[in-house]
Amino acid sequence: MPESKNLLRMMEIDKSFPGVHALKEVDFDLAEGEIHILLGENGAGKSTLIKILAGMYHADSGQIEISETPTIIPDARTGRDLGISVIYQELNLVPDLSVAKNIFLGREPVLPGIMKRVDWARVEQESLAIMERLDVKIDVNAPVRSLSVADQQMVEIARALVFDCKILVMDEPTSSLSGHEIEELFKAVNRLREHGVGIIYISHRLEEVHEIGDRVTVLRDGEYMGTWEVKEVELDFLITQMVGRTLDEKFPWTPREHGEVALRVRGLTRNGVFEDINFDLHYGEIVGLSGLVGAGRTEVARAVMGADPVDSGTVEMTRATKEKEEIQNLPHYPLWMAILDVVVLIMALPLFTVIFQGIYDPVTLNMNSPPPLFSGKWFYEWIIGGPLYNIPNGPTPYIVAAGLVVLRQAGLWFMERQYHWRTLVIDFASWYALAIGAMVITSLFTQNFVLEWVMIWGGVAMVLIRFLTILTYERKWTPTLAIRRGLGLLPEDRKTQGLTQVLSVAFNTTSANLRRLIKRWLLNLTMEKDLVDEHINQLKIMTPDQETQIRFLSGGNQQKVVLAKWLFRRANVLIFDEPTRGIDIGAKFEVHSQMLQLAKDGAAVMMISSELPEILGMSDRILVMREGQLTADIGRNDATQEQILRYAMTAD
Amino acid sequence: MANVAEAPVRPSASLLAKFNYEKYGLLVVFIMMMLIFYILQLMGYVNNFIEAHNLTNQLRNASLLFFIVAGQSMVLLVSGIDLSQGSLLSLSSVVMAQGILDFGLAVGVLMGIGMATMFGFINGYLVGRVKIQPFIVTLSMLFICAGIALVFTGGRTIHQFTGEQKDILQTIGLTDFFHIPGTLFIAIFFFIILYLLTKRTVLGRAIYLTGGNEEAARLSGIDTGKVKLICYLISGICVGITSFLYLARLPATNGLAGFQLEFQSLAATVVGGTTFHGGEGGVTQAVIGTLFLTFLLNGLILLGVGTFAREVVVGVLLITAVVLSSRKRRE
Repeated sequence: MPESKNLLRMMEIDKSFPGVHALKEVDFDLAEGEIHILLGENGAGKSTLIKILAGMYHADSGQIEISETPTIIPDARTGRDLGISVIYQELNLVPDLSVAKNIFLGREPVLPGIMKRVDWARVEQESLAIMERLDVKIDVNAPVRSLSVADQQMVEIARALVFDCKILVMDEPTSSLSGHEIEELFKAVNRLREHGVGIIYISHRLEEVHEIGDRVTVLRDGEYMGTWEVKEVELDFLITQMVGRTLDEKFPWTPREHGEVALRVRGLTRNGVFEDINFDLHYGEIVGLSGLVGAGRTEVARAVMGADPVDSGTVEMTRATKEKEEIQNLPHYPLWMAILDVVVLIMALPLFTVIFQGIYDPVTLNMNSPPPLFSGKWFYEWIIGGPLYNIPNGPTPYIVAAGLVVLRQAGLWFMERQYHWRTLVIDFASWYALAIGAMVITSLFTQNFVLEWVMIWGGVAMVLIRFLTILTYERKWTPTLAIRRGLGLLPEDRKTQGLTQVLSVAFNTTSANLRRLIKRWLLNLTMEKDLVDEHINQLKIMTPDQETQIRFLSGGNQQKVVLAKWLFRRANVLIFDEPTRGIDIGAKFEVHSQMLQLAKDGAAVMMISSELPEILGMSDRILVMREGQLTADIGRNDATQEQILRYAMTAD
Repeated sequence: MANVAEAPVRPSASLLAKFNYEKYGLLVVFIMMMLIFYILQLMGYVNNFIEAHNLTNQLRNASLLFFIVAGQSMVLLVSGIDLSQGSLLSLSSVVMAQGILDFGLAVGVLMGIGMATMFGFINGYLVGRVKIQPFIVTLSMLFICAGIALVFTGGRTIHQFTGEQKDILQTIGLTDFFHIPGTLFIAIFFFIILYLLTKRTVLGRAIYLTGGNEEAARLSGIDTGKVKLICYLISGICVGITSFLYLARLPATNGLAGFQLEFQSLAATVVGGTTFHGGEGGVTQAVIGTLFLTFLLNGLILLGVGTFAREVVVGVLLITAVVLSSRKRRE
């Protein structure tokens, strides 16, 4: 639009963060009534540029002109006063206030007077007027909570208009909208354009470029690649402009043999986040999962781990039998079983009393008025014995009963066996043998079967409870179960999800496999110290000693501790989520080498990364996600940066 | 370790610099406090502070308080809070007393401890499985238990035990061995068990990991809900044992037996160094906190400080403890 006035011009904007040169002399300009699309892959510098414009960051050098006058934007407030509004992906609305109140939040018109009361009538009228101007039908008195995401976005736009905004920045506004809602949004945006507002539009959907944009600017790795009229460029051309980050980094990749399937994911779906994810992971393989930020990669990884619930789909892990010790690490005596055993012991006490001391005194065969069931007296006689059955009190039956239970547990313990369905059968059988035996013996002497019925139904209940516990235990895919099957996740946010900052290196390293340290009922701290030292040396973790709290370690070393945790667990299916984000080059190489070593030793590795060179450098196979769907599965030799980006940004 | 980046420890580092203030600082303060009271005693301001009878009594008080402080510590370790301890103690002790009257000693004690355990379980279930805010759950439970206890007794005191029952109870509660109260031995035994539980078992590690960072613990395969449940359960059991020991010391109880005891236990726990953030502190800290609070209050009483003024002192102490621990955290 050559005839329209120039609204914004950013010249030679330069910005560095510690370790990163985020923007390298970037130019950008915006005319009145124009929609200017800003493109670039993850970390290309789009959001840095926007934040400089909004006044949240300060450029190291460069100039900003607004309406042809040089301007300095020291803070966000000034930016707003200059007519710059930014609508971020996460909407900033107060859910419980009404639409009108949200629109005028922080700028409520006041009535004259000392009290400065808010002129709510005017708030409502003007909100209605703005909604009319945008031509959308939203009840301005409804709470924002009740609106759809699309309508909430309209409220954000309306809010920007109240600021008398001349430059509107929209950061991926369509990422959570459906087809129809996108049309509505585009209509509203076009209406704004007709009113002369300049719009900077950031999107990851390349097809939108032609649909709505006037001009397009591409950033790559903080560098300005150029600005074109949308009508003159092809999508493929834009993609080639976006990729091409230098591949000078070294990756320790070597070819390997791949084994059988380790992890099988089928039809994994969480509504609105990801949909129908299918993939296999083989032993000895490194699979890269690429895609743009927000495509749902982390969410898929967490779902596979069992950390977040899914709506449908299965995760299947073919159990590795390669290591025998893996089986030993299974819990051999779960806590719930211990509690049940105590209950069994208590219930069994009177039974043992009967068996070991228990011929009734002929005098008390007269039982005209037994105490009512579950009454205090009944309970007393049942637990301790008493006049009803005239069972003499004495320690022998209790000692014998307790001894039997202890023996059984000791046996389980020394066999180091996990709780197995066979145990259930043994429980079942022994219980009934005891109950029926007691019934037969007592029936010789008395007509009263209360105790025996309690025993039998108690046994049924007990077995049912155990059965249900085992069934639900197996069915629900939780991190506990996933880890037991050999899965390990190195989360994206290691500070808050991977490690406990206030605890020591040793505590964190052993946290995923504490049972490995058990020797004779207690944790063996000497063994822990030795094993942790081993891992610290193996991964070259820089730490004064293993008692040091995690928060005193650098990012790279923290990441190594997370890795040590899974090495200590001997996990053989590992998911690395952005393993090298924010860590220095040396630690990066270390993490890559360890990843490769793991794969060489036969583990299956999945690596999520936003850096295309890392994906291309380390993976044997590359999966690409786009907006919650897997769009590609490419072999190492066929993959190029352009191709991955095309799958990540465009609908087939 | 070969790859340590740090410079070697300077040989000139004095003993004072090596001292672990975080761990033993309070112990030093405690000893200093005792010394100050002793000096005051020598100067004649305080009567009978360092004296066999008083020390025995205070150790008995401390050993009773220790149980609930230990329970509270377990709950604070998983970044929870148990406000229901005091009223649960009332409830469990009146149920225990009534049980002893109706069904005999053994059954009564079991009923009381069982009642406390059950409410501890309910607390734990609501926090760990239903995932309600611990503050809300235990506050509600405070009212529920206090209400039941008062309705149950109708405001009366229960004391009508037989002579034999009283004898047995007071033997447990009041016997001294060479001026050392018997309850102290029970407390020490319990301390050893809890110490091993927190430091040397999988559950103990899970407690620290859950309190330190719940999400990380969950992703390490720890069932955090279960761990929390167990901590509240332990708190309940502790309350049950305390109510038994209270009843054994003085064979009479009413619906207000444990009135506001939760605040004492919270104060002792926090003063000891277990933080509200979870994951920091432990049973040892509970011991120090209990001793500190008991002897401080006792010393103040003997110094002639009134009830309300003592509460001011406890308040100031609490704020000091929290400020110190948060400063430590920020470093």
